[in-house]
Amino acid sequence: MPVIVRHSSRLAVAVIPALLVIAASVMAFYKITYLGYNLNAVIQSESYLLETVLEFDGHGSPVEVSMALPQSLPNQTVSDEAFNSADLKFEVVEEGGNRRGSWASQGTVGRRRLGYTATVMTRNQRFLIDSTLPAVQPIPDSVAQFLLADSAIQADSPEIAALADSLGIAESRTLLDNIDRIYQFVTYGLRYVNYSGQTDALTAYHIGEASCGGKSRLMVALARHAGIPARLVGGKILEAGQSTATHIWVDLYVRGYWVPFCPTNKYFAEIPSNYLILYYNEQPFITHTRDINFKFYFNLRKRLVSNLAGLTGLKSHPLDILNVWATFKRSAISLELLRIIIMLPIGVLAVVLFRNIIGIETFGTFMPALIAIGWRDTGLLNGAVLFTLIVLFGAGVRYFLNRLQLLHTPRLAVILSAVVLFILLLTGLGVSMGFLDLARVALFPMVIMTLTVERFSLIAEESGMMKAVKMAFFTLLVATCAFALMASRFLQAVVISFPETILLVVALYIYIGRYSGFRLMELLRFRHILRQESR
Amino acid sequence: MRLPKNLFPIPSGIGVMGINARNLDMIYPYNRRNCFPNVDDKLLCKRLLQQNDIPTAVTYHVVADPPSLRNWEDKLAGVDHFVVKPNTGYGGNGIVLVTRRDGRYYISGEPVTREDIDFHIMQILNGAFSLDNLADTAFFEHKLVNHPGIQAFIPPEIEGVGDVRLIYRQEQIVMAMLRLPTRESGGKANLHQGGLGVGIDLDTGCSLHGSHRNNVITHHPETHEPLKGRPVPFFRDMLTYGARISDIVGLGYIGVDFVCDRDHGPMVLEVNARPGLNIQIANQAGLRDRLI
Repeated sequence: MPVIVRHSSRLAVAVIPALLVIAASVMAFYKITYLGYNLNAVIQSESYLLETVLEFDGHGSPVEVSMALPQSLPNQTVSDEAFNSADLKFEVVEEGGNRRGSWASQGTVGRRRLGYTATVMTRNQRFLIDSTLPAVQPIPDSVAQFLLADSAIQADSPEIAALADSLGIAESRTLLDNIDRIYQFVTYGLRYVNYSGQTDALTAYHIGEASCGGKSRLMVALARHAGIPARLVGGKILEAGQSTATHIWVDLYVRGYWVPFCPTNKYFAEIPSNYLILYYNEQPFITHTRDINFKFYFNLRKRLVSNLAGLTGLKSHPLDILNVWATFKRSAISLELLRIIIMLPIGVLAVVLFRNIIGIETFGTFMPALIAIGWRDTGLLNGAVLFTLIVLFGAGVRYFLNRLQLLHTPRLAVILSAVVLFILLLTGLGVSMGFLDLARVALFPMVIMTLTVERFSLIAEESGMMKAVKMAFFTLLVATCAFALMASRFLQAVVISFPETILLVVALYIYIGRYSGFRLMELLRFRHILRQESR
Repeated sequence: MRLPKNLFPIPSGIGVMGINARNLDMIYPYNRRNCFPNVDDKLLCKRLLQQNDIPTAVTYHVVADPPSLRNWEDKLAGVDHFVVKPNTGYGGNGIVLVTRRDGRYYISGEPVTREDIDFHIMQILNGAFSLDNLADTAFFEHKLVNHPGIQAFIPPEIEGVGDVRLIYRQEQIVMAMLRLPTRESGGKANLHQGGLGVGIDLDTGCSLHGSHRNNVITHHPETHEPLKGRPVPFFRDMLTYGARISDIVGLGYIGVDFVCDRDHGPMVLEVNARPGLNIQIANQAGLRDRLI
């Protein structure tokens, strides 16, 4: 059997990566230039996962709960809405420019948990009011109602008229001047106190202090008195964490536009980027049947997302196939799945670098990347802790199995079952103790964990516990790096918008695949003879 | 297109070969994948070598399936020392040395039952020691005994055999070393388990300094005897046999492991298509220097 010597084709090794890079560049260039792909679409922006949880105890009598829902407006985008309605009837009602979700049942017994979740992205908006506009402006019929007084906004009361006079509000001035006088008084003339409950305009004026609602009602009353249509705006200040507080501010009508003002947090003709509008005019954010031990809270989580929705606008193009996002959206394949699939070639970059350039050993070649996928649902820290717990638990089980002397495959099956039971236990504990992150462990890749346990135990037996722990640590390290690459919202946005990025990493892999130099760890391994040679 | 020869700042002119270079410059060009079974399958390898009159240890019995497990005691009648091996094992895993005395079996001095040996063979058949845990074959082989010239390097009470690793590029010898079991390695000659590597001067056939866990050593860490300057028995004979093996198995870059048996002289233990790199530490010399 003669030995056949085959050398690599140096030309192919040089040409193929170059072709891949060129192909990727051409595709990206074409998409940007002719298909209107916009790099801005790739740049991530801040968004919040808004979760509203409503809980009550039903006693068998009819129950009704309703809640104002945010909607997409020039300053905010609302997407991925989801409702949890338990066994109640749910509907969304649109009325007077507002949207409300309402849950109803004829008789519910026991604790129920309702919910609304959405991804909301808000933007800062500023308005410039022309300083030459006269105080008296044309009022279309549609906004005439925003000049009327009501029981909480006493725009027609003599005290408001006297206050307006004392502030120097007059038709002879400009609109901007009048607005400014009102804003200055409400903002700085009233102390801010965090009252709970509703304060009407006059009361706020009388006691000289108010919360956001009182200040806003007084501002609306003064504006309406001065002939400026005005309305209350209810919303939520976005901030990560749990809270129950809502916020109220004011819209003034200026020549066809509703211009926002917040006398509480001092925004003049501006809505800041963390204000989410929930409803207009006087209305409760939430209504509910009495005596049902009702509770609600917001849970806000900050997320960085790319503005991928913008890319779906390219749908009609015949070369739609280039728009992976839109294609997958229509194919009804979960976009989360798309994220995993498309990021995997990027994630294994960590594996390749650690193995071939740094030279550390992990359990299984691609095991770290697969473990990292499992962390997608648990997050990095919880994932790493769970990984450690499961490997330790599994290795313990494996150690006892050794005494039974089971054959290889049935032994693996026992470990797999033990890992599943352990995970069920953790999930149960997580649910009952309220650690929802722990509950997500059910999505851990169990077969991968089982194989990790088996490798860990084999290495521990053959080469000692030290070596096994070392390799487990390196596996964790590489998995962490793979996770960082795959979970990066920025990289996700780039790869989903421009899947040709994968061609670039393939070119890189071919390039690294021809690296015949030392691995970093080999400098350590051969340090004694390297030192000698360099002498 | 290649990455710069080295990404890490080390002295130039280093002839030490790393794993990347071994794979890219030696194994991929010289070792065709379809010839790997010729060495990874130990029984096939032995057959190929025997056909070419290269001495290997006698195979007493092959267990390819559970039924052939039944009569192994008959097949081994009169054999008091034998080795049980997985056919496609790697790194010495799953190899057990068995001694029979007064009809009872002993593994490293510990008494075991026939059922224990049967269980171990079942483990082998189920792939516990094979690459990727594929189903495997087990076989009983004659137990080789160290030639006094090799035993001289090994603490006397140790049962394991030392071997001579020769690296060939085709018919050309590249580097050689002795691999010696130690107390630390539990009688195995595997370097990563604490065995010793001792370089061999290709011209004189005498031992050089050695390596222990990546360190250069001049004396045996357990017997404290100097390592250098002792002749390796049958070294010339091994070189003559070894030079023919590359062509026999169809692989151009191989490690050939010989045992110098007290009674039968040099015998090929196994052939390796991915020989390790620690031989460089034992010889304090780089493979790249000698190959490229």
